Amino acid sequence: MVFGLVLLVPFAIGLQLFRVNFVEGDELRNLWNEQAIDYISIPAQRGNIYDQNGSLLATNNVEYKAAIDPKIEGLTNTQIGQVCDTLAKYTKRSSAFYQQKIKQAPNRSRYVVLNKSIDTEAHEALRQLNIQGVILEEEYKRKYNFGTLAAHTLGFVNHDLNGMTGLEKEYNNQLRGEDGVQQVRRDRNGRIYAYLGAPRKQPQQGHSLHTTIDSHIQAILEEELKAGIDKTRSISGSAIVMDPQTGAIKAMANYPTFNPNNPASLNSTNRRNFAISDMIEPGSTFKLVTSIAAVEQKKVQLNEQFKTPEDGKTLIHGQWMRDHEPMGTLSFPEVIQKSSNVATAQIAMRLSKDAFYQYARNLGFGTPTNIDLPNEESGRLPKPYEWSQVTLPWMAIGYEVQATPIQIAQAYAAFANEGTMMRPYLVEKITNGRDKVVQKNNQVPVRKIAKESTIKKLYPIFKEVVSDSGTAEYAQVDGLSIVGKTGTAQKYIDGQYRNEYRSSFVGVFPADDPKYVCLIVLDDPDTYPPYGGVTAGPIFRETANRIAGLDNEIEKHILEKEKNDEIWAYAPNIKGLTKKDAKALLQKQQLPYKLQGNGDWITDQTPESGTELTPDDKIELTLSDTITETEVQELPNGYSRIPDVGGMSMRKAMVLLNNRGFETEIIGSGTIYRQFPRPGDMMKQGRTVTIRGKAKPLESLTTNKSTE
Amino acid sequence: MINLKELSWSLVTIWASLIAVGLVAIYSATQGPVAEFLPSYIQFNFYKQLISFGIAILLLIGLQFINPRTFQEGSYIFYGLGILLMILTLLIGKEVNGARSWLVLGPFNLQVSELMKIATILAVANYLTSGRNISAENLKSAIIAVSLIVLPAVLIILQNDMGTAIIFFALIPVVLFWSGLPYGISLFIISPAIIGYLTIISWYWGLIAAIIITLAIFMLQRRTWLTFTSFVTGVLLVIGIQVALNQVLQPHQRARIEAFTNPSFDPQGAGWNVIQAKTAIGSGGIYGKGFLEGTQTQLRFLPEQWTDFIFCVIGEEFGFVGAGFTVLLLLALTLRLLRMAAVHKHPFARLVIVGVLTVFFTHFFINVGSATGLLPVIGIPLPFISYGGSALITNTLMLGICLNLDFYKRQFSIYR
Repeated sequence: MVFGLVLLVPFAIGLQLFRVNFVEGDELRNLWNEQAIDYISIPAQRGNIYDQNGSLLATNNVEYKAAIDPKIEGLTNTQIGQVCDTLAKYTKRSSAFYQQKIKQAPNRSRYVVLNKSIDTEAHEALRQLNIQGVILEEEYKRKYNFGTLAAHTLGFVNHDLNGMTGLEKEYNNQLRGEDGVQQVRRDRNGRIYAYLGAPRKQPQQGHSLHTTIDSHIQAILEEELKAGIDKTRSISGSAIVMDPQTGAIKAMANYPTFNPNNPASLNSTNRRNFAISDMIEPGSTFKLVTSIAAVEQKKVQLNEQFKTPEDGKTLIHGQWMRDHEPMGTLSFPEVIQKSSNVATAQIAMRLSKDAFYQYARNLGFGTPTNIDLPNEESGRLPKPYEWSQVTLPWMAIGYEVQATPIQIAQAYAAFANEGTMMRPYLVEKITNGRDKVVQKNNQVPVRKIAKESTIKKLYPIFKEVVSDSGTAEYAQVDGLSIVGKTGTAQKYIDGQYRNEYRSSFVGVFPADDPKYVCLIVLDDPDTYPPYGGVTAGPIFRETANRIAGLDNEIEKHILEKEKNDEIWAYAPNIKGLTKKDAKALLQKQQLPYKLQGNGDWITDQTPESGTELTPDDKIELTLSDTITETEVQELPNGYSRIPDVGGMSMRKAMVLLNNRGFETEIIGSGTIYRQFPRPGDMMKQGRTVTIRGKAKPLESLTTNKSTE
Repeated sequence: MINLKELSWSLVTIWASLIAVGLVAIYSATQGPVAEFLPSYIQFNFYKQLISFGIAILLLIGLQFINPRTFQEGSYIFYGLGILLMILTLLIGKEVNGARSWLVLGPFNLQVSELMKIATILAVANYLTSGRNISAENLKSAIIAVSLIVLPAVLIILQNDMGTAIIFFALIPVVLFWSGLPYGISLFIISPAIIGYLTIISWYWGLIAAIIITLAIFMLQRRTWLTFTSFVTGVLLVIGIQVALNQVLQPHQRARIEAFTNPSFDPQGAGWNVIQAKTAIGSGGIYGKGFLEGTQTQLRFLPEQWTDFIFCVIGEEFGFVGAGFTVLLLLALTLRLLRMAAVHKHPFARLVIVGVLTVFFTHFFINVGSATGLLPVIGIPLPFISYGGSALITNTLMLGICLNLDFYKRQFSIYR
């Protein structure tokens, strides 16, 4: 019995040991893992966003975090001193501050963060010290090179580098890449205690987006929209430029706008992309639906005459419909040209509800366009059984239906594209870190909106809108044929139509060979009259005029184009290029230039890159035999500054880099489009610069600009 | 003539194995990568333990040359001296970790309470076997025997060393039982510990235990007044502990109890030790993480890992197998001593061996119980394994005395 009692206790202990090990084992092991071993992610570099010419719209700034492992073997106090001195040299803190940080760290800590954001130079300097125990970590910050340019389309990222709106959100998974993983050990206070040597998964760089955005057109559109809004004292406005043949969005603008580099600084409504997420009653631009339906259903003859009342208003099922002015008797083309509501309603009422609904549907109203942007609204097209007696006539003139600006643009694009509606899209292709295409977005024809014959009949009629006798008188561009339609809709607020308007104009140019559809929508212009032709029309005119100026083919169409002092282009960055490359580039952009001096390298240019140019301006280029530093800075012995070799041929770049004392590693062939480390950084001679080339010559120099 | 075959070599082997296991664990706990977290005087602990081991070997050998009668005859003198030293310690002792139990003697720090264990065991054993009419059944002699144990225990409590005092209290029922106290009464004496323990876990378990013990006592003893007293005591204990837990105890004391019953209640505070200890053992798995590879140990998640939580070091680095082996070694030590006591013919020797066994066993149970979460955390070392010179030497002394008594058991009957 005594033996039994004695055995009882070890038995209990054994049981408990078993329980701790096997029953609770997993849980305890998890706890142990949680507290002792941790995985911190090494951020992947987010993919870039380019415009259609290869300009970098969004990229990343790198920041470095400097930490030290003061307990590592062989680390002397002098070395720690060196590290602190170096840091002090490049940052605002004193060396003593960093020394103090190391001293104050818990005496067992093997990971003391010294500075959370040091720049590239400090990073390089620390690396040059080559002291073991110094831990340098990269951290990326999103950077939008052109600030507010195409802000709504691009969107912005949060502190985690996750896209919150726009393309950044839509393509977040592709852009994001895969974070690497570093195994670390934490101490009992949860601080990183040491980097574990072995398991480290390198981050995978995110894919890059090549968008259809043309930053020149985007800039023009934004400028003109802003100018127009200021002029008409509108609350806000949206504008879209789209290629009707492909559905490619060339530009999309909203004003007021925001700076995605600092998205939180302004009102959050500024961050809304109204062009795709604002539902508005389109007004007269919707008459496109009525006319297509009526013509195709043969409910109207093109030479038919319509009488409108003398006072310009008529009672339909107890509601007054008005024209903006009494118009007398009108032919069908004049109904469109002058935008007669009364006559349009008359025409519409010859159609069945279902037929009208079907055409509206065909033109894309009531369904999202499926553009590759988040938060798109579908608009609201009520079904015929929901309609009242007056819905048909009013919908015919663009009321009782809600559409997004992108839907209106898409409908007119289809009209311009001989009836084939294209899905609007923004991303042409997605490439990975090695510039291999991983995804190509094909142009998607959605449907035929109507018979080609119908379109052919109506197209010239809408062309007449943009004439001296049409409503879009002020949208005319000399020498450019334009198809378009104005729209002015009263705003419906709190169950009542107010004396506030949404004025719009949508135009297609050149009419004969449609390349651009441009829609301008203004919210509540404050000038009189508020009509779309008077407020939005001029914005279109200025925009179309400047876009035409960019496009050589269109420019040829323009007869006797007045030369003016308007900004015509921006000077590209040519510094550092070879003569040959510079010539090719300038010729491509049709910029006049003058060369000075001899040699193969462009060392200077006037005006500086980014300066606004008028057609008369010439870019003066200074040539030299060798490329010289414009920025003279004393370099430590044995160091050189990494030159910008972007756009050079491989051979030239190698010669240049070797002259500076660097080794080169070549990936690919052809013109260099990427290099690492970045140009401008200081690096010890003998280190390797990796250059990547691609066979296709570089389209634009703005790529180089952004790598500066 | 001395016949070396008479020596219990198996016990010596167990003793050496335990110390070896201890040295490995202490090395890991103080000399491994963890060393950089530790002050140098603690890093030095491993070497101090090695020195103590050397002294212990000499002691063990030396003890075998002593006449076993010396222990019996000198027991009161040792006891008296011990009590004097204890009082001295109370007055001029050195305080370590809140307990004033160290006497500074030149270069050595002596923990008198450790030596007092031996003196007490010897004195009580001597008293209970000194005369025919002295027996635990006799109330007067039982009280004297208990007083002999309680006196040093009280002094130790005054030194603020609860852990060691518990060992003394654990001696009471065992010694009394071994010297003839009936089963029922022995059970009654230990019942408060069992009921109290279970009540802390949950009150109805305590109540069930009180009823079962009462029934058992009735079956064993068939004495109405004892059964009644046992039941009343049990119920009062359950109520008393509940009241104490909820009303009387200070918040920090309650937190400790709470930490035992539900460590995740305050994982960063009172529950920390329990969670970390269990995590260390649990994360070790079957074969452990390997020598010097345990992150719980090497990253200093464990408190007092060279003494009170040394079992966790073994559990983490050598896994279930290592911990199980250690438990088996300690069990073997216990059973070997128990057998030794059962075989011995002299009552004094039997009582001494049982006393020593009780001390080892209680240490073992409380230490491993604390480390595995079976008991609230009570800081006492694991015999022969934990770091601690005084403890190692005292434990070796006790074992040496047992070996000596066993070694000379054939001559013993003569001295009766």
